Amino acid sequence: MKNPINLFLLFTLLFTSTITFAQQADDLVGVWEPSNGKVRVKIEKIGTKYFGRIVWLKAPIDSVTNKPKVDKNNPDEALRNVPLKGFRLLKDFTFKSAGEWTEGTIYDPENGSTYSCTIKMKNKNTLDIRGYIGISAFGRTDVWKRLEIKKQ
Amino acid sequence: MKISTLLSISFFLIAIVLSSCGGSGKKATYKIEKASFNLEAPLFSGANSTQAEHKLDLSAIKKELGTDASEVKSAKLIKAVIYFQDSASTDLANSIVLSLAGDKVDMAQVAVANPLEAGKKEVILKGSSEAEIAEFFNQAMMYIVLDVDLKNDKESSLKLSANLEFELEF
Repeated sequence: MKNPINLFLLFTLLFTSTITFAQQADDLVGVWEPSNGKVRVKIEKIGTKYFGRIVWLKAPIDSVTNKPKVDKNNPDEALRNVPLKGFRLLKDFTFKSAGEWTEGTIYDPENGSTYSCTIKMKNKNTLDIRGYIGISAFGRTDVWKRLEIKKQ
Repeated sequence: MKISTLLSISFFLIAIVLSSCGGSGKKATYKIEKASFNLEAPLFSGANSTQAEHKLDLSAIKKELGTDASEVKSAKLIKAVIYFQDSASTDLANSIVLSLAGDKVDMAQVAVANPLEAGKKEVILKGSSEAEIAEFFNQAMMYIVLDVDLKNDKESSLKLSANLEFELEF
């Protein structure tokens, strides 16, 4: 390893590997739409983990209150006034390997439940989002598509 | 709608209130003052997110308390006030949500103000009574995250600051 060429090659390999790893992890960042089309979710990075919050709602107004929808089913009563627009549905995802993020959770505002969740990227514009209780076998997978949000 | 924000916390103060709690542990108040946030322009109406890093150092508290406890057993947010800087006011936003995040701790939503009282420079958030946040104080660092729901597009950046107060039990 005393050969300077070997040292250079080793350094180059480590450097490029690190960059590639970071790029793959950040592939998740962007705006995504679940199959039901009711919301659009922007996935961002905070620290070393990934989080997704609602940036658009198909029906933003609550038909009962005639006001913007809030997280009325939150188990924590003090937080039932949190607006759904901006709400973080996806939390604490860690990049595991190419195209896979794990150890996260997904929240369902329609019943106030939080589920374990994994994300698999089928291609750059398609995600498999699997929510489950306990073990992954008992769950449901939804397909999310990447969007580009442009200013209106 | 791209928001990238991270400003350092300009100043933080640790205040200590010693108390004994019937053998269940010693309590202290931990204050974070003037945590700074910047929502970078251009901003679009709707939910915008900003964050600030906060490095934790409980050594002064432990010294004052005379405790060698290795970890915080429970923590509760007891006060959260957000300040609009410069000429900005609550007229710009519909709501603000405060969360804590960490690299080794699951994110916790800890306080909200919705709607905001018009024409004010400061907002007092309502804290969660159930959020369990002790683990954040056993880390070296946490992220303070603000979600600000803006009423309209905005072509200039929006600066905010926060004063937070936590009750810790060792």
